[in-house]
Parts: sequence; C-alpha cells; structure tokens
Amino acid sequence: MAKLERGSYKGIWVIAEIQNKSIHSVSLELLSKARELKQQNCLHEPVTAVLLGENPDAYTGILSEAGAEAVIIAQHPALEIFQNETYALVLQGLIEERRPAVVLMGATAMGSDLAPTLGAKLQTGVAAHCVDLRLNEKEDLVAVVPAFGGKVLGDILCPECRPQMATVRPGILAKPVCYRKAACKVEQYNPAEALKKDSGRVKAVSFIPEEMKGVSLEEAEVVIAGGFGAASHEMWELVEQLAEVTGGAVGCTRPPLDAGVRQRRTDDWDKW
Amino acid sequence: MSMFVFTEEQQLLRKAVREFVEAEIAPHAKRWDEENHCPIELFPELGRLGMIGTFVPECYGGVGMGYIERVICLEELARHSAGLAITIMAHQLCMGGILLFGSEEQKQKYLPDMATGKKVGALSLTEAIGGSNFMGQQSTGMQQDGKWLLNGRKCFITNAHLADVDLWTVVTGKNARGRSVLTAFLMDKDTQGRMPGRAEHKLGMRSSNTGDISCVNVELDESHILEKEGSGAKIALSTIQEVGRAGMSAICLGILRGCLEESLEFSKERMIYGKPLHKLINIQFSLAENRLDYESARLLTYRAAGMKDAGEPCAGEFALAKYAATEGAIRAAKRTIDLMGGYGVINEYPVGRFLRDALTGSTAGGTSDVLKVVIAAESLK
Amino acid sequence: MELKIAVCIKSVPDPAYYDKITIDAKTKCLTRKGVPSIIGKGDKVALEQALKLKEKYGGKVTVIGMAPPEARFEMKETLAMGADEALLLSDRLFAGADTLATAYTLAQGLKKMGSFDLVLTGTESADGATAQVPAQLGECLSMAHLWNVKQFSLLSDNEIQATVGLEHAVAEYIVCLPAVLGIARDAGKPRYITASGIKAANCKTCKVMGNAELQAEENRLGETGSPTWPGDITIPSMKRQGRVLEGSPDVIVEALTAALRVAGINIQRKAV
Repeated sequence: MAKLERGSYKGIWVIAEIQNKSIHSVSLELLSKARELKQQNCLHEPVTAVLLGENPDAYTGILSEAGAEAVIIAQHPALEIFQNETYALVLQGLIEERRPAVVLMGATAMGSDLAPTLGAKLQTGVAAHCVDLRLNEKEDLVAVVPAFGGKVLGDILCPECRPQMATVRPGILAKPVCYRKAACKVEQYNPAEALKKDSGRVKAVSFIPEEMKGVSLEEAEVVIAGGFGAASHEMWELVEQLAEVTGGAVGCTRPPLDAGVRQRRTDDWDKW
Repeated sequence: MSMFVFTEEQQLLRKAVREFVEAEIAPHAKRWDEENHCPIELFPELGRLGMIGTFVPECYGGVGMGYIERVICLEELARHSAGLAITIMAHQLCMGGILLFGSEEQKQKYLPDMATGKKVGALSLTEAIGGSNFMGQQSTGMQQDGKWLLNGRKCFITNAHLADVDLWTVVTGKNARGRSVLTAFLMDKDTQGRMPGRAEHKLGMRSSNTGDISCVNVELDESHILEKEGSGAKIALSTIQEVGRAGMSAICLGILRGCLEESLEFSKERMIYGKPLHKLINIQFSLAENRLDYESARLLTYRAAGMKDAGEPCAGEFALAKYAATEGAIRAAKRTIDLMGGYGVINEYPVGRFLRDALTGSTAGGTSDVLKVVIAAESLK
Repeated sequence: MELKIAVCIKSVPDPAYYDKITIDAKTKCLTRKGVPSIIGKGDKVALEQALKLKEKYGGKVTVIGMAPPEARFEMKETLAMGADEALLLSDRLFAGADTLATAYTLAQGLKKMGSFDLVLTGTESADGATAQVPAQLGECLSMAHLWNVKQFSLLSDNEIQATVGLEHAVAEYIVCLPAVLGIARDAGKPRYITASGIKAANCKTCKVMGNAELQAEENRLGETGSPTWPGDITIPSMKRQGRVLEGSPDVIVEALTAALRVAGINIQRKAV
C-alpha cells in the first residue's frame, strides 16, 4: 500500500453520472454536500464535477447550479456506455495528475462498480454505500456506513491514503441546493491517452432500459410503506392503491417482502 | 456418538434439512393440515435429498447414514409438519422390514425405489381388534395349490391409500402351544384382491393418510414372504420397536421443539402490563418446563438411536424415549396454549395443531401404557 | 472444454440473529456472541452458477474463503453442496481487512490454487454489503470483472456474454476469460444440500492455509494492509413517529386524508 504525502492532495471531486439523458440526482446531492463540506472547513480548491461519456457538455449548467465550481469533461465514443475498465482508467489518469483529496460517487449500479475498481487501481480506500459524510478536525473524510442491514452505523476513515473515496446512496443526503449563476470553470480532458491502456477485456454491447412502474423510491416525495400488517395480498393491494392516488412510491419492511406480496423490483437492490 | 456431541456431519445434515424444511415445508404445513392433504408429491424430492432413505445402505439406493441421522431428519421435518414426518416414518417401517429381513432379491427389487421416494411403503399390522394385541390378529394366509391365499382387513394403516408396497402380517397357523404363527408378506399396490378401504378423518397428523386395507383372496407365491414362514411376529415387533418407536420419538421431539420455540417467541413479543410476557414468573416456569420436556426427550431419543447405530439392543431405550417424547409433546403443547391465552386456540398459530398431532402421535407405535409395560419389563429383567 | 471455476465464499453472521448483535459501550466493538455464522445467500447463488457450469461443461469448482478457522464448517457446507475442493485462508494477519486487503488476500490464495477460467462471487455480502470485493478481486488478479451479473453464457472458449443489472436497465457485456463475475442475488435459486452430498464431502479436502504457506506481502494484509480504518460505531435509533387513528372507518378516513393534506400530499380522486 502506497502511503502518500497527504498535503499534496486537495479538494473534493464528484464523479457525476448520466442516466436516461440527465444527471442522476445523487450526483447533484453529492455536489451540494461537497460545497457544504468545503464551506464548513474553509477549503480553497473548487468543488469539481467530473463527467465522462459522449457529449456530456450539455450538463455543465445543472452541475454548476448544484454546487460544482469546476467541471472536467472527458469525451470519447468509447465512453458512451459505462464500462468499469475504461472509466476507471480515465479517472485514474486524471486523479493521479490532479490529486484531489476526496473523490465521491453515487452508490448507484455504476458507482458501486466503478468506485472499488478505481480504488484498487489507486490502491486507496473506498467507503461503500454511505449515508453521511463529514470532515474531521484533520480535514480527513469521515464516511458513515450502515452494516448488518442498517442495524449498525460505522464511521470509516482513510487517513493514510489518497484520495479518500466514498459512494453515497441516492436520496439520503439533503436535496441539492441551487447555486444560481455561479461561476464555473469548464475544462475538456482528452481521455485518449488513458484509453490506450485499455486491454479490451470488457466490451459493452448494449444498454436496454427497463420500463419503470410508478415512482422510484429515491425520487419520491411521498412514500407509502407497508409493514407486518400489510403482509397479505389484500392489504398490499390497498398500499399500492394509496400510493397511486397520492402519487407516491411504495416501500416496505421485510415481512411483505418475505411474504412475497411485494415483488422485489429491479431497482431495489440497494435499498433496505 | 459421544453422548452429547453431534458430529460435524450430523450438524451439517441438521442445518441442510432445516433450511429445506423452513423454505419448502413450513409455509404449507397449516394448509395441508386444514385440507387433510398428504403432500406425497414431495416424496421424490425428499428422497433425492436423502430424508427418506437416510439409514438405507448406499448399495440399496439409500444414503448409508445411521439412525441418529434418521432421527435428525424426522425431528426437523416434524418441527413444522408432523403429518408429513409420520408419512415418511410409516414408509420407513416397511423399508426397515425389508432391510432387516428381506432376501437379497427383495432388497434389490424394492429398496432403491423406496429409499429415493419413488415408491411409497406401508406396514399393515394393526387390525380392528387393536395394534397392541397384534398376536390376536385375524387375517389369514392359507396354502392352496402351491400359492398363498390372504384374507383379512387391516385398519389405522398409515399410507393405506398411497402405498405402492404393502407389508402384511397374517396368521398362517398355530404352534404347539396353540399360539398364532404369523408370516409377513410383501405385496404390490395393484395385487388382485388388495383394496384400500375407508380413509380416516383424524384429530391430528392430518397431513398424513390413514385408513383400511382389505385383502380378499389375494394370491401370492413364496417369493412374497419376508424372511420365512413364521417370522411375522419377529418382523412386526422389531420394526415397531426399533424403527417405529424411534421414528415416533423423533417426530414428537420435533413437536416439542416447536412448542419450545413458539412459546419463547410469543413470550418475547407479547406485551402485557407494559412488559414482555416472559417477565412473568409463571410464564418462566412454563418456558422452563417446555425446555425440560424437550431436552429430556432429546437425550433419551438420541441415546437410543446411538445404541441402535452401535448395534446394541435398544427396545427398552426406545420405549423410554417414545414415552418421554409423546407425553412431553402433549404436555408442552397444552402448556404452550395456556401460555398464549386466547391466541393459543387461534389456528393462525400452529400450537393447536401441535397438540392435535401430539395426541395422535401417542397412539402410533405403542400407546404410553404399553410403553410403560415394556419399560417395567425391561427394568425387572 | 473443462472449466476451472473458483467461488469466493464469506462466512457471515446469520441475518436472522441481527437483533442479538450489540455494541460494547466501552470497547465500541460489536459482540456477536450467540450469533451463528452462515454462508451468505448471495454467495450460495454464485456457487449454484458455478455448479451448473460444471454440470454443463465439466471441470472443477474450487471454493475459497477468508475467515477464522471455525469457518471450516461453512466451507464443508459448500463441499456438501457440490464444490470439489475448498481453501480456507485463516491467519491472525488477515484479520481486520477492508475490501482491498480482502481482495488482495483472496487473490493470493487463488494464485496458490492454480489458474482459473472464472472466479465467481456474490455481488455483495450479507453483513458489510459493500459490494466492492468482486471488482477489487478482479483488479488484484488483473482479470476482467463485472458486477451484479444476472445471467451469463459462454460464447466460446475464451469469451462470455453477461447481462448486468443496473437501475431500471440492463447492460450486455462481452468479457474475455479469465474473468471475475459478481453474481446478482436473483441469478437463480441455490440448490439444497443433500444427505449424500454431505457424505461425499467427507472425501473432499478443505485446506486451511495461513500466511506462512500463502507467503503474501504482510504489509498488504489485514488491518495493516487496509487503507480504510473503522471509527466509531453506533446503533441508529429506528424509532418511528407512530400515530394511531381511532374511531369508525369514516372517522379514520377523514382524519387520515386531513393528515395527508397537512403533510402537503395531494390525493387525486380516482375515476371510478
């Protein structure tokens, strides 16, 4: 494990994610959180969003509104569909060059795959699926992670390696703040050099969106939840109906799930 | 078996069986009981998993484990469905008879399909006159033109309507002292003249099938005799004493564990006077007694099974085990119902079924009074 | 073709006993007393996939785990399920490993066992659920890796096609072998263990290996080799703001709709 001079690593980065032709809400939540951390701890480096993909230019506005003071864009056809190897190689190159102290991602399907891949390439620590972030008196990142199905919350630190990385679950941090007309430096980064290292072991073939039923849990303003008392098909039907008329999402504790009345939807993998 | 420690293999078996039972048996047990349905359709799967032919040697299609392992499987099954467990137990009586007394040819013919649950067996011993008085049975077997002609009616036979292989005992003569000579016969389901009769509507063990079987001029040749003419009493006694009682002890052990676990869970969850139920001392007494009934039956049962595995005579030990397990299960089920108050008699909870199953189980393989006679006789020897 | 498949197994506290897990107020350590260990369900799903592949193509399934020596029992369970051999990496030096150190140790163990065409893991463990080990193991072994694989098939001797579950979408990838696949929890129900399987397991070997034999770099193992450090742990309060409405159904409905409106939830009348 390479131990590095901590001082040369500065600033907070958020690896933003494009999903369904828009920026994933968790990226915006993370940017606002990063701005908050920066202000609380009087950091100097601009909060930076990094965006990979094909044609990501259109999104700089929304990133800046959520708190990004700088945006780095890596544009390349090879980055059109997410692929852990190519994305991690590009980010590894960037991070080794620019040395951010903190790198954050959403604990989405992409982030949950990319963060550990990048962490291993950089030989640094990644705190997974965090529910909160803060900086301690040494300006070290303290990431709060749930364990044992949320029964326990533990702090995770990464004091001797840089950057300090974390993924954060969508919809858990506060809704993004709106920084109107803030100055934002946009920079293009050419990933071609980094992509040369790609061995081509992983090839993305296609991306097939699934039809969404109802409102997704992390975006919902209203959640109708059922518990033990709703663990029958008749009762669950009522929960669904109520969700429908309130325009809400449905959620449940374990009993309805175990009873099989609430089918685990594909997007449930990261919720508990 | 060192008396108080299960081997790694036995622990793993219990874990594996429990996982299957909790996922595939427990969710249906209540419905099977209500619908009087014996889930015989599960037999091939149970056979494949080794829960039926546990103690049958590998050369006859079994797993090649012993009686302790058999007891483990039955206990785990009966924890959630005693009815299904007794179905397997009765099937094992028939298999046990063939295994202990069958010719090599009979073993090869019947055991592989039975051990894997492809065929179902029954032991037809009891008659209307009573199971304990099996020497007084009235079914007959007479030799005629080089064939045997069987007539009679058996009742309270588990798997009566499901069995593919039926082990019968009949009177084939009298000895010098005028006592009946019994002979055991194996017959297939479709043997001409063999007819299952009424199916019983039972108090408990309702997910098992029990009923009458009649034989009217059933013709069998010598090859259907188990061991030899006159071995019937020995076959009946040893299967009932060492296979049957072992099985019933294991099943009641499962019911006892059900009572213990249900009472613990309920008394932790149920709030009364602002506190969990188990804070009350009388409830603690009930929990302690449930535990004691379970543990004592458990030690007796596994000790007897261990002796059986070691090849030691263990009829007395199994009588002790069965008495402790069945009587303990009845007491514990009643006690658990009392502990639960009104909830105890609501059929959403399984404890009412436990009581009905326990009461029903005490009649199979020797009633408690018969067992006491056996125990006394063993002690007076 | 014969496949050499490795499956990584984690011995975890049985989730059915999570309510028995407590935190020692003084040492801030988790006490797991009386909580039995089991193989995580997700790991069994991965093992099932390996066994199916072996049944189809022939070959060998090797199970590997890193845990205290008691986990030999769980390893034996995998042999009873159908794996051919097992390796348990067990040493005080391995204790306290985060995902990176875990992935490194497992990778060293796998290298000791020979070469593999496929390495399967559960996507996430039942306890920590970081879902980071599959990717990091891939990096440590310099193999291609995918995460949350819902299904996969062999295209040729050295390529597989895999479907990866994302939020509201799936992506198809073609991956060169050897590869590490984190198998999704819903990829297929694991088989039950049979009594014959348990007997057969007696004739299979479960090797227990410490670092004296493994010879991994000590500064990359366990706590020493972990970039992340655990900090404080807490049990979050899960108390809900419960409110029970009483009265006749009409009264309850009235009160409930009023409460929902006050909360800013707009109830749409459904056309009948």
